[in-house]
Amino acid sequence: MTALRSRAGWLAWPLAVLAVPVHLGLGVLAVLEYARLDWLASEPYELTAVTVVAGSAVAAIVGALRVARPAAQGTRALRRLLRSAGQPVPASVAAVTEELGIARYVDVLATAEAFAVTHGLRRPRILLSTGLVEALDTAELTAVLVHERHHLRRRDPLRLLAARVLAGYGWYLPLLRWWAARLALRRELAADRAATTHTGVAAVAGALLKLADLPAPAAVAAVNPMGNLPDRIAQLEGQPPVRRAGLAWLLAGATLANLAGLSAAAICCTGLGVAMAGGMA
Amino acid sequence: MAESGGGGSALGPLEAEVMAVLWQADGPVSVREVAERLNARRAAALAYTTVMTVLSRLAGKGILIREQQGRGFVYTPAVADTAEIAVRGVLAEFGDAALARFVERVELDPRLRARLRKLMGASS
Repeated sequence: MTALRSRAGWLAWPLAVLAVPVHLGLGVLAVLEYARLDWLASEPYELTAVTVVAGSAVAAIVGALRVARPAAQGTRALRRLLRSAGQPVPASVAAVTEELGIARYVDVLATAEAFAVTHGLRRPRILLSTGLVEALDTAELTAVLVHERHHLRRRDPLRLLAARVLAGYGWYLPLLRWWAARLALRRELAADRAATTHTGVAAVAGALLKLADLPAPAAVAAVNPMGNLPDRIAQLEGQPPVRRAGLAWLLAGATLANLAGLSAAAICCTGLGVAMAGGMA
Repeated sequence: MAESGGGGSALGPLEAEVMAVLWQADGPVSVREVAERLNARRAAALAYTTVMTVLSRLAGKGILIREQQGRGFVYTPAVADTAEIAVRGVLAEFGDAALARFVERVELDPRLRARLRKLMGASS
């Protein structure tokens, strides 16, 4: 069952890579058909089909840009911060990063806010704050760095962004968003497993407790009260992952209904396109 | 980092004045105290409600901590400097798009906190 699930997860990428250009191509076709349609003589279903295909393509591009734009801005903002508040890596951190073989990929930012992130799509890097270095002991710092090293080696910033842009592109297909969220959770759980193998459960739990348990901005707390912590803590305790099959089936149903409508419109659009091409010849 | 349009992570002029007062204060301060200290160095006095609005907006952004004291609220800074405000702004606004953060900040449920404590004690 697990093998089937992971195979379905891998299938999502080539399917998406294939579906996006086909959908965009049909969108262009639909826009061209708009210009040629005889509004009074056309059947209502033809107008509906062309509108659905053209509208969904525009909505998809807007949805993808709404994810990609803040990501680009965030990366730039982080680089600016690093230029203004970056500082040499403290000796205590350098000792750990050298041992882990990631000394070339780690930057330190001078700020009291305790955080660690992996960022950058082509050449990922790890960014730590001095606040984090002060808050954690050596074992906990090592746990955080092994966790981030896992993200770094797997190029998780790129994977996460690709999945989220795709979910933004197909925002009217609820299963895609669910899949992107599951992918993010799976990446975190895998990074936690790497950290646990290296430093033990206690150091990972300590780092989570020290870094998560701080007053969160109201806006963040309202959207996602506990984030993915319940799942991560369950994994540290050795519990099996929580199944949310009911929700997945519900989302899959809504997604299939939307896809069926879109496919019907796409077939009708293609038919119209062929008819028009035939009429021109 | 006083960039406008950089995503709202920087402080406005009035917000910066209010933060200066709070960073100078020794402990938690009330709205009235903040208003008095601000107006002591201003030509045009600010209304109590204006100061209250700025303070609650800063608390909403997570820059100030608000606590109930008697019938009103008192405020303490949650950040040490403007660089930290900028970092928080970046993480809060763009955080999940292209970054893999170790862990998000959350108000931990007491049961989750207890489970983490137990795991910290476990030797493995």
